[in-house]
Amino acid sequence: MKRDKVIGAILLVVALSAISGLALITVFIFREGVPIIFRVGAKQFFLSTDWEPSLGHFGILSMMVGSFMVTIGAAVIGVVFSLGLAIVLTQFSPPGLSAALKPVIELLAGIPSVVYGFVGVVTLVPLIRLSLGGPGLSVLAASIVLGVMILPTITSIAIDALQAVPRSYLEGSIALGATRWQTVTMVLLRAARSGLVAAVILGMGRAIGETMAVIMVAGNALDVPRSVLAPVRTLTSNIALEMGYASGDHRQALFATGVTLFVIITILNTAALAVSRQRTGRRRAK
Amino acid sequence: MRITPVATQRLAVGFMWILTGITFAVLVFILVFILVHGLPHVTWTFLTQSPRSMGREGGIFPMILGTFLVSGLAVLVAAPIGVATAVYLSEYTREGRLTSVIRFGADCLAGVPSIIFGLFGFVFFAITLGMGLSVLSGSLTLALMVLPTIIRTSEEAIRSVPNSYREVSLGLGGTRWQTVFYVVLRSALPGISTGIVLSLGRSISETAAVMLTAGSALRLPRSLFDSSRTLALHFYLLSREGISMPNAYATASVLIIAILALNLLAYAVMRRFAVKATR
Amino acid sequence: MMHEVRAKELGDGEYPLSVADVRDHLVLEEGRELGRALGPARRAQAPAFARESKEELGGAVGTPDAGEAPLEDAAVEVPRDHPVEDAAPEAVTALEEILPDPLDGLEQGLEQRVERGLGRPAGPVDGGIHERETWQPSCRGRDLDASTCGRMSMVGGIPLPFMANVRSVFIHTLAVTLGLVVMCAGCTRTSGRSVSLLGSTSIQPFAEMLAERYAKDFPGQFVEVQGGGSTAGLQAAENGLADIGMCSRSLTAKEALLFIPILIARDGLAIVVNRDNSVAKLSIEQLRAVFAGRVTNWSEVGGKSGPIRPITREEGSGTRESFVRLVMDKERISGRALTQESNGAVKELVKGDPAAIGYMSLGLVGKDLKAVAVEGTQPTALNVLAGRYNLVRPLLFVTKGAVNPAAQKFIDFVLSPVGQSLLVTEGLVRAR
Repeated sequence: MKRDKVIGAILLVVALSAISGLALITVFIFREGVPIIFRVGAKQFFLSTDWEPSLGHFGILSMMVGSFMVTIGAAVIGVVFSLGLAIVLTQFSPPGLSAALKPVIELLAGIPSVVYGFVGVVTLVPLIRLSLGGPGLSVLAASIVLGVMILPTITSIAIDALQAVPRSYLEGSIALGATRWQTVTMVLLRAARSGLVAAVILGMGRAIGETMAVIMVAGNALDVPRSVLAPVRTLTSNIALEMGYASGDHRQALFATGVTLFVIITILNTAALAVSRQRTGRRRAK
Repeated sequence: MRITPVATQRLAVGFMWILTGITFAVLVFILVFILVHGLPHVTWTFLTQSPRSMGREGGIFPMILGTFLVSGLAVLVAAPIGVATAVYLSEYTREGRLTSVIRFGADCLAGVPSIIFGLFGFVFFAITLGMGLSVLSGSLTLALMVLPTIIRTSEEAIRSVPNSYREVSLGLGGTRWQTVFYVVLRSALPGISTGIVLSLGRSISETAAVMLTAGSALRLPRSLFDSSRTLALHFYLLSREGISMPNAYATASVLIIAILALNLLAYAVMRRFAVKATR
Repeated sequence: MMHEVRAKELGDGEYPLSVADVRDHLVLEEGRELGRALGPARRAQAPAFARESKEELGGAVGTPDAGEAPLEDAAVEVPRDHPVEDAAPEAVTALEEILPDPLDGLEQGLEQRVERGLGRPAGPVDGGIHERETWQPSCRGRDLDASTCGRMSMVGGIPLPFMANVRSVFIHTLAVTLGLVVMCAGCTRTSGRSVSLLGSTSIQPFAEMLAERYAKDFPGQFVEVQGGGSTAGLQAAENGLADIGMCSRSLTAKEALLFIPILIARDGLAIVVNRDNSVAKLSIEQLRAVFAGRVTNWSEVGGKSGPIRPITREEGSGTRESFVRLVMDKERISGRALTQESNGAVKELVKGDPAAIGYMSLGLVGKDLKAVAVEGTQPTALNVLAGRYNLVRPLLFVTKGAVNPAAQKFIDFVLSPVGQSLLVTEGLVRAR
């Protein structure tokens, strides 16, 4: 029994150090990044498109717009394909096939992002440049590449959400004479709505955090992109491109960009939480 | 002409199958593209030699070793700590605000872009702690990066273990630690291993954070304090700078095959554990 | 009060349908079985709250949230493929089959203690009794069938295969960790660290070449080269991250106070366009207009009509700062310009895009690109040496104060005739 207490104490110490280590990171990032936001002025930092570190100008608006555009684009692609994939795999495909296809999706998740970026640069970018114009390195290219990358994430969570809908719902719908497709649209998707929305939000969280693939295909131009064929710089690529520069203000500005990303991800996570809770809450109120 | 519900169904399902087909076509395309260009160049000498002339010639052995060291060490450090933390959080503490906050924090940190961890590792491990650009800096940074994921996955797996198991164990007179160690962890092992394998895969693919902390030296690392290049980073640099396309493809092939093998291994291990649980 | 809390954690998360949990581990079909086994882990990849809705609907996952086990859940349909009623008979035998497995370790542990002569442990038996004061274990009828309860004491002697024992896994992991650490620490480091260089991506390829030659001429000496950009190189030299910083621009007045620059070569700054581009010469004024975004069509500078795509380097790049200082002259580079992070990346981009124009190290241009003549002068090393081609920048090794002997030796090598001729063959201009 004493041994139990000792082990309990050891676990406590380990857990505390792990948690405090993680908390340390958060504190560190905020401590490095927040002061400069106030020094430059929050309005200047977030609402100015002027990013010229050599002159001391730190405005990340164009990068925020860039991240936003690319993420939304990726989400659109992700939603369309993942949803289709999830519905097909859970409802319309023979069990053998779906069992075989699911690991393949997990496989997609394992491919390194640099490989995606590379294939994108070599195949997708010239394609866009030759057929649609522009430099090829564009919002469109980044959205497509990111969309493919977040596919597995959204798909697996969507499959879970769809499978969690009680079978009786579906059986009831079919018993009432609906076709399978009508069941899917009118019953399944509605019942699993919160889980699906959470899946998309989490996929977007992943897309916003992606660095290497985006650097390779997005062009990294500083201007706010005027069309989907224009080059774009995201928050993450900004950090990665200028990261070696540990000089005072510039480095702190990059940390501040990191803080912004952190906050955005937290907001996304909270949104996902709220969305799934919403559904739950309604059920309990009944 | 009114479209009947059945016709709608056929159209819709057909469209979905097309989407599915496109998805798999893309995946197959990516794999085939890399492997077709790269496999011919993956020879035994390629795998065992050091690179020359910035990677234009020679092999990738230091990168393989570097990847192994950086990722392996990262998971080796993070796994016990993560599992212990998960055990503590789910078995030894009361459910309450604190644990929810910790859980939420872990979820957020799991989603934070790796570049931020790279920034942190660069400033903290490489500069402040003086480790410099080294395998050690790299692996510690990656360990911090995968720690939240391991904690969350392990915690989920542990909480999925039915309470009846715990109660039976206690009913037989087991202490709390014995229950946890012999019953709960044992049953949660498939889930925990999946989390660990996932983290391993993630750390192998990691590029930006590694570049910042482990550096990009081409030489064979002779100790943990030497800088080293990983496969993913080597591939990135080779392809980006146009140093050697054939070698880039070959490096990517090695990387993809390694990850494939890892996934298969994880799957096989899981099957073994899963089947066992049913005896 | 602690008891109730504990009881709540353990018991109330579950409800009478615990047999459903048991079904989690039954083999019905291998696929579904795998799906279940993979379930908790795969679900855990996504944060738990993504599944909260599911848990409310199904609720049979057994996650103990304090106070969140209202009885009404019992009335919720369990999301299983078979109605629960079927489960009862099978569940009992299944329980029997399953339970010996996890408890085996417990039994083994006890037996091992006995064997080792430690005697019957006071732990589990007495400790169990003590434990019961703080933690209520029970074979409560509400959770399990009364009939199966009795069978709980029957711990079957099914031998566990080697790896499956948690303790052995733990021990082996520990052993491997220690082994790895020892092995790595034991890797002997040569006397003194290797010489580390960090900085300009323009200098990097040349430094690598020099390092290779150095290692051949002086076996046992190791030189490490990393990229990162000129400013990063200065930073590294300052905070000790590297022995020598590589910088491809001249130092500012402030920097000159902190560092000692050593000129190792001079490099022309080439303006490169795609091989298919008909434009062969530009003036500095035209260059400035192009990169500032004032001129946007190739026809305005003597080429075929089409959009111009200027390519620039990232902030902190020595090449970029040299370019800005030599060409831009206070005008800012257009925000439309595509940014790449190294000479090689610029080269690749220009190689592939007929409308692109960029600037890079003359020594790295190679045969795949066309370097335009600036102000009438061809960009060749000869012209740079003669002073006719004006876009020139210094390639510096920067140190902070005196360096360690190994680094000094390398610097001497680079400045020696051998080193210099190596650089010249690569297209640079010798320092002296």
